[in-house]
Amino acid sequence: MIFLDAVNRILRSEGVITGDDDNVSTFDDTQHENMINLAKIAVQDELNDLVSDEAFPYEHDNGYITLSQGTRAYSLESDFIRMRDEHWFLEQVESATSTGTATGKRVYPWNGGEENLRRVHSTYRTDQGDPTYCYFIGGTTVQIAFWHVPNSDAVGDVYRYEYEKTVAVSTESDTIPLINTEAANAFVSSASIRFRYLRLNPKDRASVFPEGIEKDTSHQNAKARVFEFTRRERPKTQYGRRYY
Amino acid sequence: MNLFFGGGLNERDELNVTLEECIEGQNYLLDAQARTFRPRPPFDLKGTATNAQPISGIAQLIKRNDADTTLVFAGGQVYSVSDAYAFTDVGDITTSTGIRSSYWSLDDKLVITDKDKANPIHEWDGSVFQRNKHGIGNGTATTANGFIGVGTNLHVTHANSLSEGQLVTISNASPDAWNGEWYVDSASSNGFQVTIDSSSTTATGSIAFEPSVELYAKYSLVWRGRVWLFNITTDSTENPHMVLASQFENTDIFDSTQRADPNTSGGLSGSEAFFMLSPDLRPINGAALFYDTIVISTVDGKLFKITGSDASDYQVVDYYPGSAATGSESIVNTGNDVMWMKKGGNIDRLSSVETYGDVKADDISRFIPDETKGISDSIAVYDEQRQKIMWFVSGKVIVLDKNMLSEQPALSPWTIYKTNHTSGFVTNVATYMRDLGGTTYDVYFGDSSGNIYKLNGTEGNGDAGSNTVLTRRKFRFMGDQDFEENRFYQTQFENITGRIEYRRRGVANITMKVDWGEEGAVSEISVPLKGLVATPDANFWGGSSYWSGTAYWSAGSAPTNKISTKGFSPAGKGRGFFLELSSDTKVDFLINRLIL
Repeated sequence: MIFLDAVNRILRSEGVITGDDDNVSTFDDTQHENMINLAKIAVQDELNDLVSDEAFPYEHDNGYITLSQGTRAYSLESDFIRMRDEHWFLEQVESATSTGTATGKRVYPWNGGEENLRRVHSTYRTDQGDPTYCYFIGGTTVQIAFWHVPNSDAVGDVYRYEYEKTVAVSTESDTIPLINTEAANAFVSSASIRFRYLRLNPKDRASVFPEGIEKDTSHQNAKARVFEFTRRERPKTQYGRRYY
Repeated sequence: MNLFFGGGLNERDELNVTLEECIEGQNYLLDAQARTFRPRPPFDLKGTATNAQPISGIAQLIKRNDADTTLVFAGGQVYSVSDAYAFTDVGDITTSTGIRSSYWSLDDKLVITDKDKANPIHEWDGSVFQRNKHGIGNGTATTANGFIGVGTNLHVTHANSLSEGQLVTISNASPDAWNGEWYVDSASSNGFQVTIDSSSTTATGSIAFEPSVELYAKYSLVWRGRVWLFNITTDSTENPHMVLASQFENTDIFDSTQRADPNTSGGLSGSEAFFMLSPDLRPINGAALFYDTIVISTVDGKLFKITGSDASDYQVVDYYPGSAATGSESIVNTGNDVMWMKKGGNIDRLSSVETYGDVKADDISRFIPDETKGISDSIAVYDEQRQKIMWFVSGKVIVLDKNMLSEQPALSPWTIYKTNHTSGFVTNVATYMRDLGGTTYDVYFGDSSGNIYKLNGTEGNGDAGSNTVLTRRKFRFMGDQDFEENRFYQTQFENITGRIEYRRRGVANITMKVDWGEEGAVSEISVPLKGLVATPDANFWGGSSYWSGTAYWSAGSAPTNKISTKGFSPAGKGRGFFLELSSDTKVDFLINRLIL
C-alpha cells in the first residue's frame, strides 16, 4: 500500500469521498485539498507514533563505513534515525555488501561520548592509529567519528552498523512500511481515527474524544491490531494467568 | 447549511445582503422560480453580412399573412436576409450607427428611421427599400419648361437638383392621376423622370414640381392609427424637439406646419397630420409606448407623455419631472411598464415612479451601483418571451429578470452578461425579433464585423460556437452568524467541507475560491463535475445473465440530469470567508445547491 492509497482509504472510510467523488489521484488534487492535507498528517502522525514503538519491520537496515587515513568523522545513512541495538557496535566486515564476512573486530562506542573523550584525550581529533572506539558528533547530519583517527593501516577497512531508518512518508508513491495488506489496513484504520480527531473543531473534539486520541479505545484497538499483525508470531488468544 | 442561488447581483453591501444573492458575478441565469446556479445560454453566430461592415440595424417585417422578411444594415449596404442567412443586396444607405424601424400594418410595411439622422425615413414592404413618402415639400414649386407624360412615365424637362430615389411632388397636371408625390426614377441637371402608380392618359396642363424635403427622424412609433416620428430634421433644418404625427391611417402624409396643441389654437379638427414640440424644447432622446400614451424623454430634461385623442386635442404634458433617459436608446417598453436608464447609469421604471414618486425605490438598479456607474448610453431591449430586459452597453449586457421583480421582490433581479468572444458585446444594434424561419422570438445583435448573433443560442456550443462562457458568482461574507448556534468554530477552527449537489449534464470544472477573513490567503480548488451517466451497455442488476440479457434492465441509455454530489474541502481557516464559484466552460451545468 502506498501513501496515496492510505489517504484514499481514510477519505472514503470517513465519508469525505462519497457519492460521485472519485479517488484522489494525486496529492495536488484540489477538490479535497484540506481533507487530503489532514489525512496526510494523520498518516504521518500515526507512523511516528508507531515508529517510536519500533513496530515496523521496514525500520531495520544496515549501513557501511569505509575508513580513510586521517578522516575522523563519517556520515551515516541519510535515513538513519538511531542505532538499532541498545548495546550497539560497529562490526568490521571484509566488504560493504550483505555478504561481507565479519572479521571479528568490533568498534564500540566511547563511554560518555565526545564530551568525555575530549576531557580524557586532548589530542583525540588528530591522534592516528587503529580505531578502537567511536562516538557521535553533532552537526546538521548524523556523523560518527573514530578514535583513534584511522592511520594508513586502517585505510579501506569497512565497518557495518545496524540501524533504524526513517519510514516517514511524504510523496504519494511512498510505501506504507507494513509488509502485508492486513497490517496496512489496520494501520489505516488507526490513522482514520486520528484523521477524525484532527478534522473536528475543539468543541466537538472534546465531545467525541473526551480523553483525547491517546486514550480513545477505538484508536487503541486499531493500534493493537497493527501490533498483532507486525509481531510475526501468533498472538495470545487469552489473557491472564493459567493455573494447571 | 444549504446555499442556493436564487438572487442576482447585489453590490450594495458585501457583508449583509441576502445570502442567495451574489456580490460579484456574471453570466449566471436568473429564474424567479429556480434557485440554481447555471450559465446563461451561449449566443450563436447566425450569419455575416457580405461586406463584413459594422451592423447598424436589423429590421424585421412580419406581414399580416405571417410572411416575414428581415433587413440587415451593414456599413453602406442594406441586405435582405434569408432564413439560411444568405444576404441579398437591396439598397444603399449612408453609413450610420442606428437604423431602427416600426411596423405599419395598414400598408404591411416597416417605417425605418435613423438614430444618427444620416438617412431620411425609408420604408420596406418586403421587396423594395425606398424613401417613405411624407408629402412635405421644400416650399419651392417650379413650373416645368416641358414634360411628356405617357402611361405611367412622366418626363419633366427643367433644371433641378434631384437624384434617383428622392421624392418630388407634381401638381397642376391633368388628368389628376399625374399629380402627387412620386419617386424620382432618374435625374439629370436639366430633367428627371418619375413613375406614377397607375397608367393614365397623356398628361397635359402647366405642371409644376416641388422637391420633397429629406425628412429625418431618430425614432418612430405606431400609435392610434398614426406613425409618430421624434427628433426631426427636414433637409438641414434641425428640430430635435419636434414630434411629427402622420395623417390618421396614412403614413404618406406628414405636416411640419400644422401644430396640434389646444393651447396654441392650432385649429385642427381630428385626422390631420401635425407636429408638436417637447414642452421644455430640449432634444428628444427616446420614446416608448406605455399603456394608452407615449412617453417621451428629453436630453437632460424630463419625461413627458402625450394626452388627447386626436389632432384637435393632442398635447405633450409633463409626466415625470425627476429625470429623463440618458443616451439615445435607453428607454424601453417592458409590457406593463416603461424602464429607462438615467444619467449616471441608474435605471428607473415608470410604475414605481407613479406609485412612490421620485424616490430611491423607483431606482431598480439600486442593487448594482458599480455595474451601472457612469454609463452614458445603452440599447435597451425587452425579451418578451423570456421576460428579461437588457441594456446593451459597451462590453457587457445588463440584464433584468422581470419576473424577479414581482415574484422575488426582496432579491436582486440583475445579472451581467459578458463574453470571452472577440465581439465583446460591443454593438450598435440589438433587437427582439422572430427567429428567421421559426416561430419563436429572441434577441439579436450585431458587431463591427458584419456578424449577426442570436443571444439565446445553442446549449453546449459556447459563444459564437467557439468560446467558453465564464460563469461566476461570489457569495457575501459568511461567518459565525450564518452557522448554527455557537458554531463560530465552524470557520475559525473547523475545516470547511461541503458538497456540491448538481445535475449530470456535462463534464465541467467548478472553481471555488475561498477568501478567508483575518487571513491573507485565498484558497482555490477545483471540483470536477461528471458528465452524463454513460450506461449504453450496462446492466443494472449484476450482469447480463441475471435478468435475461441486456434488454430488461438498463438496456442502454445515457440519462441526463441525474442528481449527483461532489465533495469539496478548501484549505484554510479564518473568521469567516467569501466563497466564489466559477466555471469557464461550454457546458450547460446546473448546480442545485451547496451543502456546507
